[in-house]
Amino acid sequence: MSAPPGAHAERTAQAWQRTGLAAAAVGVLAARTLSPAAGIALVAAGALAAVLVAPLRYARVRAGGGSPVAPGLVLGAVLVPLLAALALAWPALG
Amino acid sequence: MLASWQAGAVARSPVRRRPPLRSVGRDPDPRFTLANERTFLAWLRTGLALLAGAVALAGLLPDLGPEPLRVGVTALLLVLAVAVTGGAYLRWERAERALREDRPLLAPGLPRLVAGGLLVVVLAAAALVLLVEGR
Repeated sequence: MSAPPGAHAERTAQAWQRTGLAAAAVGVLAARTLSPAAGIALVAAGALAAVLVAPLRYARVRAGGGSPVAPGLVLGAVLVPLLAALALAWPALG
Repeated sequence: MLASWQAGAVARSPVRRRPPLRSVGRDPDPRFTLANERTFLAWLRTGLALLAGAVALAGLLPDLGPEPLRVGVTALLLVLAVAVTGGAYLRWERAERALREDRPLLAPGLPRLVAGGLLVVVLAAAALVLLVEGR
């Protein structure tokens, strides 16, 4: 059981892309309903993940050399939806 | 000298600082690290879906059913979204440590929380729809 070379890099880049697109979609919905500012911020962060983080991650994993673990990236990725949820809580519940 | 000062600082610190991720154990198979990262991203998308539910309920259906029930479901969705997103990070961190130290992986705490929370959300949403349809 062995994947072709580059498959792990590709799958991981695609996961970042999907997540970025999902964030952007939620951002569009939020921008059109509850909060333009929070929605636009979420769209921007999602687009950044899909068009910048994903290809950089692909290149980094393909390059190899040491563990590909990226704690800073993961922390950044978790803060975006966390802050969005907190920013949307007020207009959603108020 | 430096090490003993650091040890003292750690002992006095009210928050137990764990050593940085890269310093514990040894680098696991890169494929495991990447699989852990993709699992983290999948949890993040689950959190985003819950957030989308809250935004849709509050933003697109602002007059659906009795207000306390609707606001309650929205609040629960938001709480679940925050718990899943925060839990995604904690799980990623713990799993990566476990991989580096060659320890067994995680207890299913977060999946259980999501399943239980979603059960309540689904029941409340069904009640909301039935109340609206029954009028």
